[in-house]
Amino acid sequence: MLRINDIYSGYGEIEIIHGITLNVEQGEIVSIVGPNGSGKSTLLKSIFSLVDIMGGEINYLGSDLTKAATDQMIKKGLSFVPQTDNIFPTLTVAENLELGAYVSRKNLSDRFDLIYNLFPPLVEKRKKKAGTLSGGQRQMVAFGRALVMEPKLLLLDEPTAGLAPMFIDLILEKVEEINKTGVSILMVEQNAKKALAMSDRGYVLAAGEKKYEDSGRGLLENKEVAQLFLGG
Amino acid sequence: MTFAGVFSYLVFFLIFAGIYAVMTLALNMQRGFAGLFNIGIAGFWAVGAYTSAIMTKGPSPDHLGGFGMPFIIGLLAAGIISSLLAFLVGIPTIRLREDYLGIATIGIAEIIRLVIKNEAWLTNGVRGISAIPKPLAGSFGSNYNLFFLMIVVLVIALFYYLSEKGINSPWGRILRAIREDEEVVKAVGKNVVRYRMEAFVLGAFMMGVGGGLYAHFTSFISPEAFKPMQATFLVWIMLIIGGSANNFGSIVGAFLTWGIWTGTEFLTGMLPAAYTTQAAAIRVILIGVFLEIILLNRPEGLFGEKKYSSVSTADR
Amino acid sequence: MALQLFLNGVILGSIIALGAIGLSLIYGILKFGHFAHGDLMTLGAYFAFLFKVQLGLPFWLAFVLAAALTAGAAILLNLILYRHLKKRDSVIVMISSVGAALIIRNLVLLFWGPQNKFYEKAIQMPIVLGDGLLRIKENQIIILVLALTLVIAVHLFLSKTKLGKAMRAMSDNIDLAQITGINTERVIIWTWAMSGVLTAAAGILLAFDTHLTPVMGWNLLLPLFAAVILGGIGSPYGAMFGGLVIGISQEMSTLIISAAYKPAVAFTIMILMLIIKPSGLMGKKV
Repeated sequence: MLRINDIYSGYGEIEIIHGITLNVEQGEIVSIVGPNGSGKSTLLKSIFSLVDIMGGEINYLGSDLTKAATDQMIKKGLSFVPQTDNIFPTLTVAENLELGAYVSRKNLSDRFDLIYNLFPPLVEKRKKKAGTLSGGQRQMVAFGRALVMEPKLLLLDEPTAGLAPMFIDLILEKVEEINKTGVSILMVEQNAKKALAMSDRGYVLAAGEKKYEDSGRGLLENKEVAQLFLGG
Repeated sequence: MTFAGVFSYLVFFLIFAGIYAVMTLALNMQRGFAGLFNIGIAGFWAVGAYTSAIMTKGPSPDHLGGFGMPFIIGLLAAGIISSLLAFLVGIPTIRLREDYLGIATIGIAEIIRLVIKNEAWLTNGVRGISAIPKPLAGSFGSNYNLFFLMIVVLVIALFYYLSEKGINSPWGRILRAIREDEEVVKAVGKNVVRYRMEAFVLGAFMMGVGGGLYAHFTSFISPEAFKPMQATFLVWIMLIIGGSANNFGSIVGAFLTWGIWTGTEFLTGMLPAAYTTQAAAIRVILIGVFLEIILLNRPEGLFGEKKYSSVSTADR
Repeated sequence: MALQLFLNGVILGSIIALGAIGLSLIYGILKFGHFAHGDLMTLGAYFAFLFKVQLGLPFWLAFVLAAALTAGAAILLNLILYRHLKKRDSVIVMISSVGAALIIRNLVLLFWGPQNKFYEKAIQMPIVLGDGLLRIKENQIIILVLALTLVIAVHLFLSKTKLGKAMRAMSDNIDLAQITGINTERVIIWTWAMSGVLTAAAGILLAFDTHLTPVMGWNLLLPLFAAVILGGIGSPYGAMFGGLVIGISQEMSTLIISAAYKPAVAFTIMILMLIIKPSGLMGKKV
């Protein structure tokens, strides 16, 4: 459903991604792993045109994303959870979720039910300002906001960054749960082993280039990858 | 107009433009080199003017005075008191985002205006201070203004020299590095706030001296003598036209802008005398529109940002 | 005496609050201090003067027309200036707003002259309460009622409507708002419109309480910023609260210091806040 073809991108005059090709198929979980500064996040942001695209094309369900407006992407079922600053801190949890439905308000209450079912702790925090929640709960709000948009493909930028260990597994479990409801996932993750273990396929990036691509298991079992990128 | 008349007008014009050039050099130190947002220039100007006036005058029943110090000491005191004020304003604001300093400088300028207006024992209140001594008054006869112009030029030259020297020193390099990337400078363990504060205080010193020059030249100052926001604004236009972080551009910008500002006076001078208020308003509107056009169309000013040798710039 | 000053403070405070709401939202969303805000206030007051006194329209109609025109002026400033300077250093945008402030003030001077002006000539006898303990003019009651009505309207707008929530969301986190599909350009225009309306209202109420002068708004700029910083930049509710605190402190301060130094009170509170908690009372934690 998503095809990135030989993309070059970065900030202003600084090119970070040097020609990467990648694809995500319907129903898949795909992980992008690699060391710090390898361009993982930049690659993800390129899809949403949050960085400058210098070359290549990004095709999603038959249309070119490099030329699409944000609300068009959202209507086509694409949503993005940034790594940091991914909630509206002075708005309540309910308002955060509601804003997820800014573009389309169809079946809103069903969509809310789905999210409160997925993240039960949010129910009693509905009226609380999102900024007052714990790190794990904030991440739930961030997921919730993205899921209200009814995405077909969810882009996650390091969903477990900065979380306490107990929350890391919980959030990754939730990612699998979301995937089971039919949402395809493309995520960048620092916990490479955990991410690859749950992924259908994975890509290993280094210095803005694609070094390896294989099934999740294949990458985990690849000795070279293990030695160079997964810490032995 | 006779040749002598034109010449004496020209000298008069150059003195005022020169005092503004001192202010622009000062603002360039704060804004151009350190990125600081000072829109209370008039406050530092006034503090300098009043300090030097009070320090140099003989005893007066109307206000604090009687120190009878020489002109040079008056100017130095003007600079020092003005820097002290900058230091005090800087303590709570300089570590914060640049706009806080801007708001605080407006506040301090307003408070200074209130003090000058209300503390008559110190400043003679709204009646102002008159008969401020001119250095070596009476020594040059009808050429006195020419002599004063030399003093102004000397001050400009001195500040220009010190400013260039400072900005090319290790201190200046760090200052410029802070503007390029604050985090990197912090990471190597430099106290960013200190460098900013030093630039702010140095700039305020120059502004104080500029204010002193103004007081001695006009020999009369009062809270209503000039419109504070207008004066501050003119200095900003001068800096922007000259190009940020460019000392030479600052000076040229000051003379050019003062020329344009004086030009608008000729223009509105053609209106009948009954329309003086309107004429003044039209002048400000014209110069305001002029600034907006520059900001929108030539953001880098006429001379651009000067490239100093050690700063790595994107040549790509 | 203290009670009277408190009441005067509440009146001034509600006027500051009205102006500060828009200033805070613009500050939060567009990330720059809008130094022409005080002069927009002046402009609103003079527009109302034009309609009420010069054209003889009823007060309420003059109020509505002036608010609409001021909103238009605010949108116009955004359209010709701030929108184009968005990608630049915030100091450039702010100095451009200082320029706009001077232009507006001098346009007011040009069209209406420097003399004080009044909405009505007749002098009102204050209503005396509790054996002369408290004096309040009929106009001041109207000011309080109108200010309260507007604040409630703003609250309902911000908390109940999609547009209002989008404004708050943008003030919180504009990048996230963008990827949530909020049409940020459109919301920015509406924010200017709302600020224009509230600012005009503040100016009109101030002139209604005292009189009109071309510097009325500029003189209130510092208290406006103090209210915004006290409440936390970007927080409309903080701005309302901050406005009241600043208004009341300014009036009550005359118990201790000379009335001439009233404007210094706002400044002092602002500086104290910057020392203790720069993010303000209700601002987001950075």
